[in-house]
Amino acid sequence: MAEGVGKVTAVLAPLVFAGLYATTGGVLWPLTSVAVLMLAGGLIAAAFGPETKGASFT
Amino acid sequence: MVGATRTVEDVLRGGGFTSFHRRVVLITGFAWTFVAFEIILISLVLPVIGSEFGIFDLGTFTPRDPFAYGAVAAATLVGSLIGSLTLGRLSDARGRRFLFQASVLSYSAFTALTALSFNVPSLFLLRMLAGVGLGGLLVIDPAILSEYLPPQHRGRYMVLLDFFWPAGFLVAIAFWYVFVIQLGGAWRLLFVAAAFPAFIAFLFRRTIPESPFYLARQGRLQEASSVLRTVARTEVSSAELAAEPAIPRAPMSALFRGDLLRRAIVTIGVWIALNFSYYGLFLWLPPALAGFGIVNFGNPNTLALFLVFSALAQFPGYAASFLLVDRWGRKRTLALFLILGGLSGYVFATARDFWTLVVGLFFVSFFNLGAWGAVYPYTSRRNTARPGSAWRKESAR
Repeated sequence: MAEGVGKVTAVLAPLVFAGLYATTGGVLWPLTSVAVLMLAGGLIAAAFGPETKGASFT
Repeated sequence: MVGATRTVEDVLRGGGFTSFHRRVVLITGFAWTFVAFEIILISLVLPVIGSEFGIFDLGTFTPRDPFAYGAVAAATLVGSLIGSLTLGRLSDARGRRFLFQASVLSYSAFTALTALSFNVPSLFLLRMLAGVGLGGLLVIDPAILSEYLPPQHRGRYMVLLDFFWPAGFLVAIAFWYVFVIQLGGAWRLLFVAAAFPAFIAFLFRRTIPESPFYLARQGRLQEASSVLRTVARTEVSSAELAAEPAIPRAPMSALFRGDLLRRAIVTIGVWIALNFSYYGLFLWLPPALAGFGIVNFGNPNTLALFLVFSALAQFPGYAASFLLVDRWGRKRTLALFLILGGLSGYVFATARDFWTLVVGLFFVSFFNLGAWGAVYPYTSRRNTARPGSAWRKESAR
């Protein structure tokens, strides 16, 4: 399911980039949004993610 | 009379890694390369097509209509979402072999037909239809690979499959350079030529039999044992082979209960971060690079160098992740690559000089693709569990 959400996000990403580009008139904010989301994902994984090595999802 | 004492997994485990597996790794790897090629290609060609259709200004290298530009860039992914949902499930019911070939031929045909686009809506529609086949392949290709591999080698070779992804990026750059730059904007010819991965369907048809898991689940044990003799190079009779049980489907709500809740939320967050950053960045890369105003991309060779540089940075990213996941842990590797990817992405976004731009681009590509290498083993059951539904395989690309 996470991957399904990821696929929807993949579709939205170029459109959100376009929206930010059109609104701000440049690439600074669209690229910053890319950076912020990566950073946020990493911090969430570091703070709350369990280690899954050797674990099964079922 | 011998009883049913061995499962498909037992036979694969006992047979080890054979020359058959080398062929499967290569063919599924080529298929993976061409999926990346097809998805990335539009981002490179779109400025030229967009210029012809009035949504991009090649003089300033900026989109005239950013939303139309973004929509066309996303069209393949829209189709891919539909294809993953429908063709992945269909391959569980109808077999991997037919659906693999149908997916390859479908995306190749619609890629060739993209040459006939006459305006933005027709371009969007044809890229979306090509994306349906790509989406099918995105779930069926790794499913096929995992269903032939012996379980003790499955994790390593499934991660190896991802090394073929940046190769697709490089092939796309080569096509763009030859057809758009050297042949003066010949994008229609490019899409006709880009249908060449269709040959994989014929290669596959000649080389790869039906998945033994699929056959055993259908009760076709005679055929399953015949395939296993070829794959595992070991004697196995249909009488000793156990039928595979149907895959139970747990309700989605089970993911949000008990111990799985925290893991589900983190996993969703990570997938959102990765997909947004990868497709936001790489599908907009040419105009984004030009948007800095630091480098004059009037000379297309300069843009080509930046694109190749970005693609090459992805290989060591995967390699580093591949090594660290086992030695250092999946969570730590994934979190580190995402955090460093975010920081280098910020350096890239705020670059004011040539070298900051180059270094930022290198590291954001390195860490982003490295994070993809870590997210699969972090998320998936595939490295530890038995193969099953194609839809439940990884492939959120």
